[in-house]
Amino acid sequence: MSSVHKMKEGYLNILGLAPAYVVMLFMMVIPLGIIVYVSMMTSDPYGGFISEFSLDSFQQILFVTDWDDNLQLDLQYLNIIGRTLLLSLITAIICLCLAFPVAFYIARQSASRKALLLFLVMLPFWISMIVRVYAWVLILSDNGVLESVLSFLGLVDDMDSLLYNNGAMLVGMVYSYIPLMILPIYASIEKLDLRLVEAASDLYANRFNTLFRIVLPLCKPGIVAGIILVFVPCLGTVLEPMLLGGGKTMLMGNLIQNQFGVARNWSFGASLTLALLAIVMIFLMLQALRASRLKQQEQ
Amino acid sequence: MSLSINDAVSDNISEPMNTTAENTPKRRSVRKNHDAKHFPGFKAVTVLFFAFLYLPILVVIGYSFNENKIVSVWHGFSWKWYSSALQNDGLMSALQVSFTVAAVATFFATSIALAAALVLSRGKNVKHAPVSEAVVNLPLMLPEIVFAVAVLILFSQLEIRNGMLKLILAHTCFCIPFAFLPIRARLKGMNTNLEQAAQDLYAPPWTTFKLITLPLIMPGVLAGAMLSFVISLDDFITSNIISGGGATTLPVYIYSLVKQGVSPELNAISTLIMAISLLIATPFWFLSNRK
Amino acid sequence: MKEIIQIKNMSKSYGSYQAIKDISLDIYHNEFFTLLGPSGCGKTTLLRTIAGFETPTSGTIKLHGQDIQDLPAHKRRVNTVFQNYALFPHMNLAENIDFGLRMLDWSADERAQQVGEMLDLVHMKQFAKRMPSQLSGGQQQRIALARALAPQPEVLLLDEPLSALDHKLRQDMRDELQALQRETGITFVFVTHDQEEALAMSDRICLLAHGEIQQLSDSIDIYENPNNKFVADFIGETNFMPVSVKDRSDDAIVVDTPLGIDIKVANTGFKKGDEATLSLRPEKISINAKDLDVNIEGEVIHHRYMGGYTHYTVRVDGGHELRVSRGNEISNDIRFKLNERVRLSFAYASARVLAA
Repeated sequence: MSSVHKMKEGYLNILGLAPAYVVMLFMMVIPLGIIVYVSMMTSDPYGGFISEFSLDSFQQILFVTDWDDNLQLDLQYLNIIGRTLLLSLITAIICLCLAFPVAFYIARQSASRKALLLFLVMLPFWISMIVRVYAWVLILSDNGVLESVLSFLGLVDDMDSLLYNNGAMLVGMVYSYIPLMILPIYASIEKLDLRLVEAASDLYANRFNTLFRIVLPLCKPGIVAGIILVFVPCLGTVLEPMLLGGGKTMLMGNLIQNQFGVARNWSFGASLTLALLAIVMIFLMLQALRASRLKQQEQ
Repeated sequence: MSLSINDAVSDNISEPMNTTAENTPKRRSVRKNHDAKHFPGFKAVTVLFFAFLYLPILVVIGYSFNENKIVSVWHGFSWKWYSSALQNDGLMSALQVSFTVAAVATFFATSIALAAALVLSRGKNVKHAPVSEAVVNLPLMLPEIVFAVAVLILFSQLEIRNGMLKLILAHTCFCIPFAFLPIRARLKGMNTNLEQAAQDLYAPPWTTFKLITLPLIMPGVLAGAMLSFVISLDDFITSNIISGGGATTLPVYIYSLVKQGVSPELNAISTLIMAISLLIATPFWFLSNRK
Repeated sequence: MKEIIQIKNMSKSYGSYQAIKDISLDIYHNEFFTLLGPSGCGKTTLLRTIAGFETPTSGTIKLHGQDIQDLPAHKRRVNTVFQNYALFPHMNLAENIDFGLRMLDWSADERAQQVGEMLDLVHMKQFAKRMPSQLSGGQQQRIALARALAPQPEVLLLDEPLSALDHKLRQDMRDELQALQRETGITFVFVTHDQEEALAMSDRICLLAHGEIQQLSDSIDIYENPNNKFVADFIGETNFMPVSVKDRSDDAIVVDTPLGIDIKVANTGFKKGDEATLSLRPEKISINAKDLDVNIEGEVIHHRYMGGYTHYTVRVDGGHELRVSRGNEISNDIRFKLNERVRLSFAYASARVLAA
């Protein structure tokens, strides 16, 4: 009787999870396998790829072939990768510096006010990314809102477009991803026993010391989670470089996108995708290692 | 609708300022704030942050009412860009595509997520539950561009050319974790005693599910459905890469307009989209905050 | 007396942890039966196996002579009052009480009548249409009781139902629960960690520790004649002292105590030379009263006024300390002062010798 029961339960478990597994297998796992395959094939200049083994696409990340068929080191893609890492890192740091005071301030409000402020933090996130990035195009473009406001105030006469540079992308990225930083930090401050802050000040710590020796260390899990939540999507971000960055200041996201669009170089696109994936995995792995080391220390 | 966004936003920004005006000077004139939990400057950063967050949105909304065709020069108030937006066939067909895809993808994603969440929080002797949990959340672990490229190649290999079908398949996949998380949270927060109480009062398992579990997790299911609906509606990266086959979604259509340059009609369209998002986000907020 | 529940050789383990170790016990008709013990002793697990929320690893449970260990919870004619009441938050009180009746396919008329009677029984008629969240803890408790009693179960299982209530309300609910049990004639199986609650309400108490039965008897017996040191310590307060058996006859033994005197107690299976523990309850010792079997002198080194009684700690000549409690019958003017010399007396019959 009870074994029949158990068998039925086992079937139900499998039945309930099966659809999710099927979708993830066919839409995530197999496609990722195909990317690996395509990266090792030859690009078809008319789109798609030809099933002919070649590692040229990986080589292309670092080298160009000159007229004499010699390999020459080519830094343009490495530059893009470096810029992507740097801008993502700066975005994460700016987000952190802004988000921590905001999260702390919100955490100390009354319950109803907390709910309202959190709602307002999350609300832009519900608004289409394209609309939010477009807002900055509107503000920063040549003859845009910022320029007309500044010239109305008599501060500038005529200025160059503020778009199409690293700064514009940075503003756009911070703007897009900052809610993802606030939420985990807010959660960790909520968990923090604020009496510890009082205890620290009772033991003669000034505000600077309480902040850096008590509050920040205790909020570390939230801060780390926030950095990852901002940093990882920044690495693959597409809209900001496309609309605010332009052709000269590309990031990995729109570089990859281009290989499947105008550049028609699928194999190269696939190997760039793998490079991006590898970078993300390294960061996630480092984090996982750190987390497991912390767990061990606790035991 | 746009007005209410406006109100909510300006309320919030002005509120902390008001309290600054009322409390702080008084307190300061009497004595310094000795509360150790008070860090000076945090409030100012918060005010600046909300300004940073909402000013760009307000600019778009404000300029959508600008009569002038040159966007940045204010000429007077007008609704005309809204009426021209609503008569824009490209926009209307993109809207239709987006809503259809979002509705269908939400239905499938929510059903799949609900089944998985039920097994993972209520199933007995579930093997490798953490692995299954990770599998369900797989789309959250990759940058979206990776997913987009992967499904693009998949569809081209399988020669799936129907744009709608491609969009629905891809959106269903990346919506699953967004539908899953609120449902899972709700199930975790629900006291399992309630289900036991129902069985104790002679309700067989299926009846228990129907009369107790389902009604109680319904807010979570609705929240998950709304979240996945908005995620699908707003998606750009994947939809842009796999677009073609006669199906252009709203964000992809807007992108094509942005490429042509800023325009007051674009401001009106953006404002309309924000209104739609707000319409969905607000009930979501109330649902997920309900105890 | 007829058994309604028979548990035979039941064990329950979670992995390597054994929550219940080979327990056998019978519960009788119309009995107020209490499972008592510290947390982690297995009492709640035992209750949940009767309810059908846990399957025993081995052993059998019989309800009315029928094996039920393989029956799912919804097919057992027993009902549970949950620790935190588990009222369905999306149903009003009447609907909560009605739930079980609906599941048992009672007719609409019968259901309406029974729900009314149950609401009357717990004095909550005027709240029928309220939602559970609008009730106080005590009111939720009553509805949980009404809901569990409505389907007229053979046995009512109560899982620490009073633990969430405040002290005063808990006292009132004790009387109410006991009255309800007498009124309905339903067997109550009550789980608690509160020994006072157990003593006050139960017909029989089963004291559990580490998944094993320590003692199963009525309130008086479990207090007056504990089986072992654990029982004596868990129920009420006592003075323990190490003793050794000096002499034995057929019906009595003489033990030598650290008080410097020998005590003669009933023989409970000890041999000459055995090391044992003597248990002496504080209220069995009188101060400066008439002489009894044992009379010793000492000095008050501590006292604590508790309202209804006063606790004294007395160091007897020879150094051993004894706790003594004395009811404050008249007033506090004859309280014994610190360092005052007093004479303590008790009867041999008050002392119990237990295995060391």
